[in-house]
Amino acid sequence: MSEQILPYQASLDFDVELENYTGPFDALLSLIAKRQLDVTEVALAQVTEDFVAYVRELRGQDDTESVSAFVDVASLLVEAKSQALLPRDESFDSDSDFDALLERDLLFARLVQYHAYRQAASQLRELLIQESKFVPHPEPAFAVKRSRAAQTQPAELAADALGLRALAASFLGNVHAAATAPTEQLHVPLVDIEAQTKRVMEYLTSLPAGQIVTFDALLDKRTTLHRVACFIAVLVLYKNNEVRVRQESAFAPLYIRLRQQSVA
Amino acid sequence: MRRCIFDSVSSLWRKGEYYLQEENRWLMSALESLLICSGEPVSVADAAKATEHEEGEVEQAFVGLAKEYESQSRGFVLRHSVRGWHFASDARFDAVLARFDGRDKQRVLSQAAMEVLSIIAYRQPVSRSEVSTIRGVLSDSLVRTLLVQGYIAEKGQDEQTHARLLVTTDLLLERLGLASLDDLPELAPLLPDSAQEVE
Repeated sequence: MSEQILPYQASLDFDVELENYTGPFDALLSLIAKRQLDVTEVALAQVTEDFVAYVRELRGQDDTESVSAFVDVASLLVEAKSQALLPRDESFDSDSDFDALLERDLLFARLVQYHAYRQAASQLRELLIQESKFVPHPEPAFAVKRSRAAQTQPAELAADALGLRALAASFLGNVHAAATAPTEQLHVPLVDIEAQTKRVMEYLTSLPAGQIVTFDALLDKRTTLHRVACFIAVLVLYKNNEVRVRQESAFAPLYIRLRQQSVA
Repeated sequence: MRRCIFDSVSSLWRKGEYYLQEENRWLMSALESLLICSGEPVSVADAAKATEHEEGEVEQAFVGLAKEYESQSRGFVLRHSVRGWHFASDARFDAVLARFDGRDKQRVLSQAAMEVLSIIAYRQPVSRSEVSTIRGVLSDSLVRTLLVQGYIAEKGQDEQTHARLLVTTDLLLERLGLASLDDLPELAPLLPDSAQEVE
């Protein structure tokens, strides 16, 4: 059991492994290594076709996030390559020409950076594997578990009359709590954005015309979900052009007022 | 004394070993008594208090003790982790131990998870989006997994973006067998100048 080398436990990490490549940079480095090239910009251009072919195979993967990351890199590579191949016309489009090459340089620099972290990752992995062979005494994992268990243990009660009364009280309390437990704990309450929108509008129309309020003033503070719904409601109203929103800078107070009705 | 044989064979430096000097014996034995009784790794500070010695001396004695065990090829070793000094079985007997108690090897993380872990380890504190940018692919689910496993933790937030920042935990250091973040293998040799410009 111990001699056998464990395979990568990729599925445990909820990570969709795309044919063993963990991302576009990983794929690029692997393709470069496959052709036995050094990590250079020339190599990057040489594997562009391989990479594009690989990305084409990815179609149909339902992990859109990953696929788009691959497509993004592929488009940069293709553009840089086409710019490099096209006969140069100094008078035309030299800006976009330059931009494409700049983008490729940046991409290459990021690739090299990623390369370093990937190497560091395999060093750390080696450390983890080596270290797991030393079994500490006392077992620290056990110590951690024990202290966690201690935290969740109920308070000890003395086995005397007072203790028994406390026990009875706590038991009855539990029974009572169970009978009156709010049922919304059983399911996540659905927060209605429409209702929030209506609430925000009612609040704003109740104010004198042109009055500006802070977002905080009209916020529904019951739960985080309510807050979120309230914020979305404001966004909806803003999109529908029913309110005006102003904010000086990120995380500064948000000021809201009704859009001035052009009264005839 | 058996050690005399070694002395005659190997050069004089062995005589200079801390653990061979009789005046250090008491402190090393005292530390041994703490190690064998303590339910958790022994910190230098606690040991210094208990033995009424300077922390520097205690540190030296721990190192001496560790070297002594090493020289005797014991089945246990004395190691230094984030939380202090503790005994551990020697890695050579990994397989013996596995047959003895059927212990399963620690699960090794996926390559992707290791990438995320190393980026956080070397750049901490770092935001999720930075991690994703360096990897070139969204890494939030891996971050979540590592958080659950206790290898990383959230600590503070970025002033500008208010993004939660990620750091590594003592648990990770312990699993890596390192006493502090300074002991991480150096990243600089892996990182050529062109990549540093991106940062």
